[in-house]
Amino acid sequence: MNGPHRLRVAVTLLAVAFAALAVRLVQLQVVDRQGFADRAARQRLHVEALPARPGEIVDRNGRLLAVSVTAPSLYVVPNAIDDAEGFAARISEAIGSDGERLAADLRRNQDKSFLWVRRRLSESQAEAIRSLDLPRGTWGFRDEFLRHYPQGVVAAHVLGLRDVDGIGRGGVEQRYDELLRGRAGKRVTLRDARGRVVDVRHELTELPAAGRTIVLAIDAVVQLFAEQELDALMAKHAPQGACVVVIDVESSDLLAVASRPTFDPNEPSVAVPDAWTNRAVTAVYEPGSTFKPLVVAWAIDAGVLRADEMIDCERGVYRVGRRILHDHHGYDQLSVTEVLVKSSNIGMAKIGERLGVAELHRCVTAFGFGRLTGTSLPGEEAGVVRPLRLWNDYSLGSVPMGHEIAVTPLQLIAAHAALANRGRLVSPRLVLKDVDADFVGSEATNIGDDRPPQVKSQVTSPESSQWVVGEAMAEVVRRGTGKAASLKEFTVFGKTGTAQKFDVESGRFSHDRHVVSFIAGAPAHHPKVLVLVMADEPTGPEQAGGTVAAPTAAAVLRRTLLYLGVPYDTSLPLATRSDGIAR
Amino acid sequence: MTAESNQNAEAASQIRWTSPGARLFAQSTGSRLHKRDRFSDLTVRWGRSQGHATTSHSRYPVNPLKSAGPFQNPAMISPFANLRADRVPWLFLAAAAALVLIGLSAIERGDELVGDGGTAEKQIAWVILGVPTLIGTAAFPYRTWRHFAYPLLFGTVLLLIAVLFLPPRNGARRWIPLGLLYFQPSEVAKLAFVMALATYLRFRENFRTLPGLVPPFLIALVPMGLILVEPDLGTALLFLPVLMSMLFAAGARPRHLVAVGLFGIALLPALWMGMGDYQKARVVAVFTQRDTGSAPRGDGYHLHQSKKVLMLGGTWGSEITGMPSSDPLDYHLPAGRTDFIFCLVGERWGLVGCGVTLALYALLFKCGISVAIATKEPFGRLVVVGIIALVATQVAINTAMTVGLMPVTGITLPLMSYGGSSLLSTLAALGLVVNVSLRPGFEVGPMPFRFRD
Repeated sequence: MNGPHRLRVAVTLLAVAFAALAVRLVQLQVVDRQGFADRAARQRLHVEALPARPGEIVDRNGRLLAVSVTAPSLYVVPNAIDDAEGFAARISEAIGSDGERLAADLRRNQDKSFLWVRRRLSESQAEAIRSLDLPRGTWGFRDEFLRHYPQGVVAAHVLGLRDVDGIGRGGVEQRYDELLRGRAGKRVTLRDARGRVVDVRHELTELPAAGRTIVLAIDAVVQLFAEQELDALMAKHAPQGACVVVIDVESSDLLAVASRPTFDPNEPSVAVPDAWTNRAVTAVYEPGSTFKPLVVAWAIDAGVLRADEMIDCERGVYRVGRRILHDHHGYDQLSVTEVLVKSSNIGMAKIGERLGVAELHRCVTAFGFGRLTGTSLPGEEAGVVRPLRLWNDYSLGSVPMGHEIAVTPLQLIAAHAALANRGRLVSPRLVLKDVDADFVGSEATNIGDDRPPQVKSQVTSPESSQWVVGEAMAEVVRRGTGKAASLKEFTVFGKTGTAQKFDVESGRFSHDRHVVSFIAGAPAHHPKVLVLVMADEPTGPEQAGGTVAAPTAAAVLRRTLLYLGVPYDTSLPLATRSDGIAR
Repeated sequence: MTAESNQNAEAASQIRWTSPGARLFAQSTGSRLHKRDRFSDLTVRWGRSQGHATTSHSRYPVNPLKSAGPFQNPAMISPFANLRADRVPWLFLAAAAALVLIGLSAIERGDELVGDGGTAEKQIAWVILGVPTLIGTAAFPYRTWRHFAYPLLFGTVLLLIAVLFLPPRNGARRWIPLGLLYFQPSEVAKLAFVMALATYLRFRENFRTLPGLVPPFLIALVPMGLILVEPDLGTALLFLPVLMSMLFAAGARPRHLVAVGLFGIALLPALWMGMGDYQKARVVAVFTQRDTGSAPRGDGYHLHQSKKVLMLGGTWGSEITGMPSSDPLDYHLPAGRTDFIFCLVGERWGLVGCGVTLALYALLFKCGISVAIATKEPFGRLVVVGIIALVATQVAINTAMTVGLMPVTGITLPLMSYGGSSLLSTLAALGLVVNVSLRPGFEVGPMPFRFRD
C-alpha cells in the first residue's frame, strides 16, 4: 500500500511540526508570561526619587563652609538616538567635552534609556545645550545638588567632600553623611507607555527630608590663620607635610585643624594623591620633647618630684640600664624648670626612674595616648602605646623624653590642653551640634549615633599643672628652646619637639630626617588657646622644632588671640603695640 | 476456483445484475459496494471481470474512457446527479467552518484593540461570498478540470509576467488593479500549479528517475521564479513543499527527493545573497530574538510584539482572565488582523484557543488526507494532496513565524486571516477537496502510484 503509506508519513511530519508549535506556545503563553505580566505592572507605576537637599556645614559662628546649590545635569536617552556620532559631536561642542568618547559611550549603551553626559553644568553650558534644539525625547536636564565649598581650601581636611553621586568622602562629610544627606523622598506616578505622567499617586508620595546642618567647633577665621601660616611654613621649609591644630583650652573645641598638602574640595580632580591625608589625625610620630612637661606634672602629682628640686644632670652623660644618654650640653645641677628649658634628656630620665614603668605607663594612658580622641574623623589613628609588660628599664629613659611611644598631633594637643586647663582633660570637640534649616537644634553631645560623650577627667592636679604651664613652659619660651615663639602682647608658654624619624631601610633612627613640632599657648597664667605645629621632614638648614615650628605657632597664636579679643597680659610700651590695638 | 475468484464472480454477478444505467452511475461515482470495499483491489478486479484485461499485468491495460463507450465520459453526466450526503466530508467542512469562526472572533478582537471597527463585518461578507465559491468548486466534477489545468497555468504565468510591468504597491509588484479590488495572480497560480502538476503526474512513472524529475520542477520553478521577482519570497517558497509532497505522494523515490532537498539546501547561500536587506534582517531577527525584555527597535520589533501579544493572552486568554496590561503599546501589533491573526487568537482565547485552532487544522488535514487515501483516481488524489500540502505549509509557516520559529514573511493564515482573496482562494481549494471526496470514483486500471519502495 505504497500511496496511503506515504501519505501517513506526511501526516507524521505535520504532527511533528504542530508539536513543536505547541511546545513553543506553552513556553510563551504560560512560562514567559508571568515575568512579563509582573514587569508590565511595574512599568506603569513609576517610582521617582526626590533627592533630599544635603545639609550645610558651618563653623561655630555660622559661616558657611559647605553648601548645596542646585545645578542642571545633562542626561541623554541612548536608545532614542539614531545618529550617535552627530549627536555626540554637537553636545560635546556645546559643553566642551570629548565628542568621540561620548559617541563611544552612546554606542556602548545604545539599548539603555538613561545615560549621564555631564553632571552639574554651569548655567552657560546648560543654555548652550538648550540652544542646540536637539530632538525631543533624546535628552534632558535633571536638577541635582551641587556641593559648593565657599571657603575653598579652608578646612578642606575637616570637611572632606561630597562626590558626584552625593556621597560624603572624608572628613565631616563622611563621618556625618547620614545626618547631612537627609532622607530622599519618592514620588509615585502612573505613566503611560510613552512615559508621560498620567497621574500622581499622592497617597504614596513621601516628601524628602533635608539633611541636618552641622555646626563645627572650627572657627573659620582661626582656620584661615592656620592655613595661611601653614602655607608660609611650607614655602619656607618645604617639609613633606605639616599640620596645625588650634584648640580652645577650656572647652577643648578645635578652632582650626589644617594639614598640608591639601586640596580644594571644589576641584577634587586636580588634587595630588597625598593631599587627602589629614595629618592632624593620621600622622603618627614620636612626640619627642613636647612630651616632657606632661611627665613632669605627673611626677609632681605622684610625689616623686618637687617643683623646687635640683636634679643632677651628670654633666651630659648618664647610663640608664644598658643605655647611655647624652644631652646637647653637659649640665651639672638643674632645677626642674631648667630641665624643661634646656630640654635635658638626662633630667627627664631621672624623673622617669623615679616614677617607674607602671606609673609612667599610667601617665601616658591618662593623658589619652594610645586611644582615639573622640572626634571620630575618618582615618583617625590611635597612636602606639605598647602594653606595660613590654616596657622595661630602657623605657624609663626613653618615654619621658617622648620616645618609644607614637602619637597623633591631635592627641598631643589634647593632652597639653588638659595641662593648660588646670589638669582637666576634655576630649577635643570638632562638632558642636546638628541643627535644622532654621538653626534650631539641641546641644547634641550625642550627635550622630555612636559618638561617645565628651570625656572629662582630672589628669593632674590644678596646682602642678598650673606650675608646669605658667612657670616652666613659660620659661621655655622666655629664655629656652622656644624663644622664637615669644610674643610682645602675651606671655607664651610652649615646648619644642624634635624627633628623629625611623628609617625603615636602614632599620634605625635617621639623623637627618626629623619630625619637628612646637606646642604653644597663651596667656600663660590663664591659658585660652593652644596651638600645635608639626612639620614632617623639613628640608634646609633648620631642623629643630624651635626654629621651624615655633615661629609659625607663635604667629597663629598671636593672630588667634587678637581675633578672639584676649586681653594682653604683658605691659607693653605703647610704641611697640601694633595690629590695630592702638588704632 | 479459489475463494478469491468466487468472490470476484459474486461481485461481478451483482454488477451484471444491475441495469446499464446503474452501472454507468456506479462507474462514475463508485457504488456503495465499491465504497465499502475501497481498500481492497476491487476496482481493478471489476475492470478485469469486464474482460478487458483479464490476464495482463501491464500498467495501463485499458483506456477506460475510450473502451467503455460514449456513455462513460464523466463530462456528460449531470454534475448534480451524484450528490450524496454521506460522501460529503462533513468533518472536513465542520473543521473549516470552526476555523473561520475562530478567525472572525480574532478579527473582532483586533478591531477592539485597534479601535477602528468594521473589519469583522467585512470579513463576514467575504465568508458569505465564500460559501458559493466553495459549493461552486465542489459541484462541477473535478475530472473535467484537468483539461483546463495547463491552459490555466499558462494563463497565470502570463499574468505573473504582466504584474511585473505594473506600478509597484508597497515596493512589490504583486497586484493587478481591477477597479474595486486588487487581484493577486500568485493566489491563482498556486492552484493552477497544483492542478497542472497533478495532470502531469497522474499516469506517469518516469519521475522515478532523476531526469524525469526535471519537468515537474520546471512546472514549479517557472511560476516560482516569477513570484520571486515580484518579490514575494513567502508565496514563492510555498511551491517547493507542495511540489515535494505531490512527488512523494505520486511515488517518486525518496532518495531522489532527499538528494534534491540537499541540493536545495546547498543553494541556500545563493538565496541569501539574492535576498533583499529587509528579508535578511527578518532572518537575522529570528536568531537574535529574546522572548522577554524591552521591545527592540527595527526589525526585531514585529516579532517581539507578536510574541508579546501571545504572552498577554496567557493560558486562558483575555476573554476569561482579562487583560494583564493596560498599556496600549503592549498590544500594538502591525498586520494583526491579517498575517498575525494567530496572535489575536492567542490573545483572546489563550493557549487553549491556540491549541483548539491547531487541533482543528490537524483535523482538517487528516480529513483531507483521508480523502486522498480513499481516492483511487490519480488526478483527484494528487490535487487533494497538493491542496492539503499547500494549506498545511501556509499554516505551518504562518504560525511558526508568529512564535519566532521562522522569519516573518507575508503569508496569511488560511481561513482565519482577514482578507477576501486569501479566504476565497482557500475556500475554492477546499471546495476542490470536497469535489474529489464526492467523487472518489474508480478508474478501470491499476491502482495508481503503487511501487515497491
